[in-house]
Amino acid sequence: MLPPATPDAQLIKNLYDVVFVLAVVTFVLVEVLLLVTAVRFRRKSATDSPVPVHGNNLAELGWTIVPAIVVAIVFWLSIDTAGKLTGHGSSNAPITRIHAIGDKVAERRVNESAAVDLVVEITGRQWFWTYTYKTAGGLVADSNDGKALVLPAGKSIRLDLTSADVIHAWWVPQLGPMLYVNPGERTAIFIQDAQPGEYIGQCNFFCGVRHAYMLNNIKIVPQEEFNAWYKGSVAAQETVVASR
Amino acid sequence: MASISIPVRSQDKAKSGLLGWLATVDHKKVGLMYMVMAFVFFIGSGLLALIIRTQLAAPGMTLVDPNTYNQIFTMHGTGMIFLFTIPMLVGGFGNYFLPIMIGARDVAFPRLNAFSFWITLGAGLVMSIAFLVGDRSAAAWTAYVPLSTSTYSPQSGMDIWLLGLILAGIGSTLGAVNFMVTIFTMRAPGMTAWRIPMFVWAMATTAVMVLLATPVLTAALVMLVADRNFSTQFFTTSNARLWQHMFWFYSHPAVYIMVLPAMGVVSEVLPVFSRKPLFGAKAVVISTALIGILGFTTWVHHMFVSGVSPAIERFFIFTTMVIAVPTGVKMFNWIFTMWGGSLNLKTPLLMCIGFLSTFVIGGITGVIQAAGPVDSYLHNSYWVVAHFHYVLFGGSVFGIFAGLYYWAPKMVGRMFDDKLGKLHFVLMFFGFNLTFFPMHILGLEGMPRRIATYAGDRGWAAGNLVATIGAFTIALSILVFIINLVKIARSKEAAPADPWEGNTLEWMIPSPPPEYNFAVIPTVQSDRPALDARNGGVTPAAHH
Ligand SMILES: [Cu+2]
Ligand SMILES: [Cu+2]
Repeated sequence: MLPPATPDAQLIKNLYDVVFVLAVVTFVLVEVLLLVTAVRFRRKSATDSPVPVHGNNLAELGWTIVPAIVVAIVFWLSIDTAGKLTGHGSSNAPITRIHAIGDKVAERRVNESAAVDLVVEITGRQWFWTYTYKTAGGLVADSNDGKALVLPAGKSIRLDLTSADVIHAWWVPQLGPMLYVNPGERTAIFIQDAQPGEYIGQCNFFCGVRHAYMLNNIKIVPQEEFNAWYKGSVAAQETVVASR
Repeated sequence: MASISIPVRSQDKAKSGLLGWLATVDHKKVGLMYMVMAFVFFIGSGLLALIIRTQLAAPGMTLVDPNTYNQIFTMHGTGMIFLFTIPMLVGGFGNYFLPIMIGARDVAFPRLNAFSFWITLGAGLVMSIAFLVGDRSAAAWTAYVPLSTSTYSPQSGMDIWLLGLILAGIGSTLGAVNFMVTIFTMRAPGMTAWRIPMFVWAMATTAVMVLLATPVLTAALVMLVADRNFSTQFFTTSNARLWQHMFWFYSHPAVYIMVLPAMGVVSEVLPVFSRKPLFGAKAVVISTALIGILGFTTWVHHMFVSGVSPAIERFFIFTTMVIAVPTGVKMFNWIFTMWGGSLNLKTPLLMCIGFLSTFVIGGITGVIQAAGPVDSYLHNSYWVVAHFHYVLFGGSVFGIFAGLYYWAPKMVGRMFDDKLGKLHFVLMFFGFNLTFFPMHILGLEGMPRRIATYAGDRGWAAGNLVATIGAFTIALSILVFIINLVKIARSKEAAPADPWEGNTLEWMIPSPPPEYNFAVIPTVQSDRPALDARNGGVTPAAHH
């Protein structure tokens, strides 16, 4: 996996690493057993007559129960990690991940459930992203001209996702989970305590002709740098609006 | 010895020549036509895969433009699933061997059977013509709404694609009814539940799954056609996930529709080529049935990142992981069928070993992906492409070739060249792993599926080049198989009725089987009637 840059991405990687070890053990066990069997029991003479074993209840019970235990462990680890992800919600305080645009009740619930420092509304379009900062100045930008989505490091940020046309998917693997971006609905992704750096995102739901080109850069910068950049960008935006 | 003899009326004798094939209702001829059709689509969809792999061999390639690329991968997926794998396993092997293996002279409804074939061929032709003359569908085989609506896919190719799938769905639903009735009512005397061959058990489970799942897809397709052409609003209003639910309610079980018959083939070949009974046959049957039932409870694992609630996600993580248990049981039972046996390492057995060693990877990666948070990284990445090819190529395709080599002497009455078969196996095995193993790594490195190209700075070039080399190695292996087919056609070496010391009824009749299969319907006294016959009509160790 690509190096994680948020605690959420780290949680996902930790889960993957544990499950991967269990997977490798299972894989090696089965393949070695298969290879040994295939080599050791080759037909030696045309008259070989092996013992006609029809089964063995104890052995079969064994290879039912042991995999069941392994699977139970993986299940438990998965839901444990899922519960720890920001914004995924726990069973007693679930966050509604989807709501129709304009659903005020749901919006209030999302707002109250996790206090955040910054909200950015993101709209997926064929084949770029538009960013609207929900803060003073309400900066609007898009990924079309190769510009990055700039966000402050070490803060909690909510990205409110929707689509203007078909389904897209928000996927910046180093910053946390992926989520579909659906038309007519809002879904929320949280970026919590991100480390400074530049990260590549790419639309990960097939969305038509130029799907392969729907990339976006995310630039995480320290708060002061973010503030300076934001002020400058808002001023530039105001000049553009005023000159129209 | 009680046996039933039904005289065959002379006017039922089939016509020969082209008309004999066009007008046939004989399950064997229908089965062979399914197989030929499926193989043609395997070659066609495989050639599309080679274009995909050539385009992705290096960053920034422009062999095809993005729009053409999207059409090509849409048709590759559609063709391999609906026009190759399902028709080959269910229509081909199912039709040819299911009736013989239960000691029947044909399926329950022979004319309906022929109809199923012709409508499936019609589906294939409709989709191919649309593909060849342009204006093609380019919304991926999943055809998610709203990309597939008339707003975003206005081309008529999309409607033709939908029509093709509706036809294919009708064909396979009718086929499933036919198989179920055949298995229920036409078994030879003495063939009790536990004496039914493993392949037939697998087909029975598959038929039930087709019957429950396919109509849901067909309904969704009809609804989408109506939305596109008659201004209905099934998918265009509030619930964006309705299509996804209906599509995956079919398409997850479809994985088992494609894998269970291949598992059935493996369960037939392994005992014969190990000279041992199937280890834990009852557990294998029960596991098959459990996979069939549980297969209907997991479809939302395709939607974890589409915005389902955490509680629903938790439920479907559980159901998805549970399927690994009966699958694991079968895996160990197969290996222990070989353990202590006398392994006849001919091509059919090698293909089965190929199945076991690759399918296990697809099974394990399935559990990894089912872990919700991990899925939120790997979903739709090249990892997923690797995973389902390990299931559908590593599983189904190796199983199909195991079956083709195993039954070729029976179907055509000639022997194949085993050396060429082994060469085919080795090339395909290494080619397959070269192609698909690196895709796991590409997915972990962040490469999404269904992209027409990628930039050189993403670090994906090496893995993609290896995958492309692997794909051409697979193509070479298929060429070797075709050469073998030609050699079989020219061969003078007649195959005996039972070249492998088989267990099931098809090995007790001549190769190729005569019209109506059995002059005298046999009476079955154990789960291995052909072995009984070799031992002089009695089973020395029928029950333990
Ligand atoms: Cu997109
Ligand atoms: Cu599935």
